Amino acid sequence: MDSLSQQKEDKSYEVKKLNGTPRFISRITSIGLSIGTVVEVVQNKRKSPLLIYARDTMIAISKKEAANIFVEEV
Amino acid sequence: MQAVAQKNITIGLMGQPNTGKSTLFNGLTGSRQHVGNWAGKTVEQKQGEFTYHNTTYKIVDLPGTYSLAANSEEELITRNYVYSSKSDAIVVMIDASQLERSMYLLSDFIGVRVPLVVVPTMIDVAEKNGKKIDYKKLEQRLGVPVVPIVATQKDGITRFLSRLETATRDKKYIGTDFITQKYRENFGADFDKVITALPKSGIGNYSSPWIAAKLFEGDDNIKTLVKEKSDGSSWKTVESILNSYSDGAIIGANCKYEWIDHVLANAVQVPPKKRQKKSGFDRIAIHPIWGKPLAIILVLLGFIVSIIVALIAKVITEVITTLAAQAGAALLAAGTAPFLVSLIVEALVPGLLMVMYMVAFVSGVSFVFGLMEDVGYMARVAYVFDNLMSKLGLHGKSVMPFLMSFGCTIGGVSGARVIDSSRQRLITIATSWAVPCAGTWGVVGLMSSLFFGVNAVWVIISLFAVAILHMKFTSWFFERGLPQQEGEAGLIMELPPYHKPNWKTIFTYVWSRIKGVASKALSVIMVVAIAIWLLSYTSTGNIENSAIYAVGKFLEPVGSIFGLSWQLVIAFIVAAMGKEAALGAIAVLFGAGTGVSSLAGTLVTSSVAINQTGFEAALLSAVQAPQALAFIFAFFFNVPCMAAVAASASESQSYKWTLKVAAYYFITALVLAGVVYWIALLIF
Repeated sequence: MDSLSQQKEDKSYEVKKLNGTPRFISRITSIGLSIGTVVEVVQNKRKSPLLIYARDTMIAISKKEAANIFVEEV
Repeated sequence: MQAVAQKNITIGLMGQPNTGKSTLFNGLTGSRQHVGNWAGKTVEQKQGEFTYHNTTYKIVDLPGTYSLAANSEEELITRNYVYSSKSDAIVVMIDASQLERSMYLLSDFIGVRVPLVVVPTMIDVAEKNGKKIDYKKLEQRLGVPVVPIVATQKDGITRFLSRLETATRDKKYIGTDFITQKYRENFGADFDKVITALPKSGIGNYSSPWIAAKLFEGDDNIKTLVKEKSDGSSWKTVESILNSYSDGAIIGANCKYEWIDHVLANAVQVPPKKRQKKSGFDRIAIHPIWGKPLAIILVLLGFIVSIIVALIAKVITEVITTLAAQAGAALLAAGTAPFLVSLIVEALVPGLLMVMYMVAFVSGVSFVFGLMEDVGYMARVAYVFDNLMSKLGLHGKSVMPFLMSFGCTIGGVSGARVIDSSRQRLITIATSWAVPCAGTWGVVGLMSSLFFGVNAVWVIISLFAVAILHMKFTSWFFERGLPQQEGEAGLIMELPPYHKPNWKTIFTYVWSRIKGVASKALSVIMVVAIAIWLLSYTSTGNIENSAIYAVGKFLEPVGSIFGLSWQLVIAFIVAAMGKEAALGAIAVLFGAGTGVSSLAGTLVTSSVAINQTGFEAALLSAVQAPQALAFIFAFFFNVPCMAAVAASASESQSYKWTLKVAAYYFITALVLAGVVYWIALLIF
């Protein structure tokens, strides 16, 4: 299980674990990421937030926040 | 003849961001809307009205939110509205093309006792993506009216209205059985134990199962509410149960997504998953390197558009100025008192023209930014500039108003509207004043080259270096004073799909900006212009006979600490009127400018005849290099101009806050001038 922030572009992952304050959990789940959600990494470049695609939605997440999302490749 | 309305109905309009909420709002209310602030808040409140079947509907546009959480000021406002609302119904908009995700907000309404109407939008997009949605089935499962609309089509609105009419009469809620069962499966007997400890009838519009779920999710706001409304012993019971659930928020979210899956099962047919291919444009727009120049080019284009709109106004103002001057001369010849003519020609007319010019410029800026926002591009800008802007404690979108501010601060301040969080918006407005506008360079260019020759380059470089530090400090300074820390909230943002611009939404937006700015501008600009005129009017044209001369002389001992002579003190004060007007004012102050009988007259730039060589000689003989440097800094970081102040008052809806920012800039500019002066004394 690795953090989403280190994952490769154009691959899909399943969310396994979310770490953080209730506030963070509330923000990330309400925009579509919960346990079991499949996400595709669209863009992961250095010094840029991560771009992912989940539940028909393109989402930008800063690296710091993405480090708290743990995934496994599907 | 309009029918007499007999009944009043209040509707709350809600939805996740980018669901087309403002399109529906504009479609329903047309021009019958007004903008204010939520009581005691800096968040804008939009309300509108329409009449249907002899009933007046009052519609409240609630800030967009992804759930009924209270993570930001906007979300808190929305939730408090739901909590205490006496609304006849709340309309919840969901995006049919992103159904699963956008129904999350709806799932948070299960157990809230407010009648609902669900409005799926973007149904055309969903169809294009190959989604088949059975809205009838959706309605059966939800138990509340479901009215899909394409907000741009008239018949969609009509059908919506007839369903709304029945909905406000029938008052339907979403069934709670499925989700309660899910909560029980996950939280076991503890879920019911918490419910039993809560007030039986719930609190406000919240039912006790809804409150219980939020407590398990770890919602601090609800905890406080429950603590207030229940007795000590039952709160202790609740608290001891909750302590053993650290991941309640995750479990709660999963229950809600399970409910969504349950509702959507067999009601939606989705084609095999495939992500929309990135368009050629998007490849550049979200590119870590090329995305930035693209944004800068687009802002530049936007600035050009705004200037073109403003130039049209400028042509008209030139004509009026000439006419006013002729009228003034005619009045004088007819024996009208010279001070009255001066008041009209040098304060009232230029003030009014400045308002006109400003309104034209703001309409251009609002149009360009409104368009970029509407088609979905602005979120991309926020994405590519997030890293840079977060260093200033700001949202990525702040870069757009900042870039605009290099042209004109008014553009920056009005452009800050694109930032969704009111808190971030205020910080951006306050900070954008420190970005040097085009008008700054007249005085800074002249004085730095006059006094420092080729070394003027170093003056400019140090100005920019200080500006960056200033912005960092300013954003920190104004962040403290604002309510509710958003804390370590990094970027989590949706990039909406691109779509065709909705011109009605954009023009309604532009019109509301014009209305907002014009009223504030009129009062602020007229007050300042008349005040400066009163202080500086002389019948002889000799500034030493004016009240402002006395003020400058009186303040000179204080000014000298900051390196400012009486002329420079006055120039500093007058520059707050407008940086372009300042050059003329300085010329008059140093006896090298003629043609006006008050410093307010310098607002009409062409009216000051400047004797260039005399001006330079006068400056060089009366001002020392350290003083000049001090003045350049004081001028550079001063309040940008009265129009920017007016625009800020309009955007923040708060004179008090705007005055605070103005005072802050006035003081920091003087302090910086002082520091520069004393350092310069050591060097020169």
